Amino acid sequence: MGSDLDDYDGLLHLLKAASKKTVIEILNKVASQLLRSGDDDVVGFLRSCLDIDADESAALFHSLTILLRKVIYSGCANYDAINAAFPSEFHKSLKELLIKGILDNHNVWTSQAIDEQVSLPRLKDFSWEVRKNIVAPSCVLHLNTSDRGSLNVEMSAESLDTMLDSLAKIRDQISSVTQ
Amino acid sequence: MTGETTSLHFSDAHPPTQFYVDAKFANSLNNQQYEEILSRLFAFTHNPDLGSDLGSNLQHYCLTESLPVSSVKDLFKTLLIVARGATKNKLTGGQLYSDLQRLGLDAGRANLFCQTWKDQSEVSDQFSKLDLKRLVDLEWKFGVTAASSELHRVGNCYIQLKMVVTKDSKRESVLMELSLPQFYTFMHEMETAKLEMGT
Repeated sequence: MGSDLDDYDGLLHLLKAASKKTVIEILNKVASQLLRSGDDDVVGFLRSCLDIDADESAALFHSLTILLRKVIYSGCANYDAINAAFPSEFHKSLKELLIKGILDNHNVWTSQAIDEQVSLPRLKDFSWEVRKNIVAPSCVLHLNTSDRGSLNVEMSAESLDTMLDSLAKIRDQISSVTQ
Repeated sequence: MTGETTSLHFSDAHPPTQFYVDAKFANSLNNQQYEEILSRLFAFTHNPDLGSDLGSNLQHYCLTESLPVSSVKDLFKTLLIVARGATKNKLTGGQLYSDLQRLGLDAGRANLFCQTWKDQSEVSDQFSKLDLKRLVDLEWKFGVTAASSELHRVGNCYIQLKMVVTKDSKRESVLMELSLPQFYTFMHEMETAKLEMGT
């Protein structure tokens, strides 16, 4: 199914790119911005990279955003699916280049999208140590979460056992779902 | 020994006669029994949550060892008061040892008490330094993301954990999400920790 040609007009500015490599670089930069909502001045980057003015780079950014959102969202992972995202009259060789770029980077972008999706604070990393106190050994868990930073939790042997029981239950649940 | 006018270090108050009775009882226990009582005592000072089962556990222990329950419980209470007093007044090992001797506790018994108390104090210090919280409960949820605003079809698993932790009687919940690989790593590490604990 073709799309409104106007939306994709901006893409034509990519023809001013010095090389195919530049086009791919631009694709990745815009995708990153989309998925990670960073502060990078991507529009400014487009201006200097392609030597175009403010309006033209805004139009290019707009078109790239539409294209990338569409292919990432619908999980287009093969030539035909991506091809269908373009209007039928679109510039043939530019389209081929973009399709190739999307195919090559599609998996990376999908992983990034998953990483950035709505979630609870993430566990970033953890470590542990066992302290053989004179009375009863305990396990100290050093956790690092995305919202609270560093946290130290102590567990008795019984607590650790109970925790492991819970973890085993989770593992069983996972196995039963992901057959 | 009774009728001493100079007070001891662990408390300003004059120790009741019961304390001397308890010290004598402690001397009558064999090494293993005395060590076991100390072990339970300091496990309790370290983790007051154990308090709810303490009475019945001590009772059970007494039955298996054919010890008089009330004597053991009295001894436990006394030693607890002494330990807490020692901590509160920031006694040195020597001062505590001297107190115990004056209550009539044998040298060897007094020495073990001081050593254990000292080790436990270090642990508590580390606790406060490290801002250690104790795990009291763990809740979890396992889910699969069906879709998101970015991806029409996702299908990846996530595990959400809620650790309820406590410190100084203050409870709080720590929420976190783990990916599948993270979960497996976490579980593996905790199993390794259990092995190292030797339980």
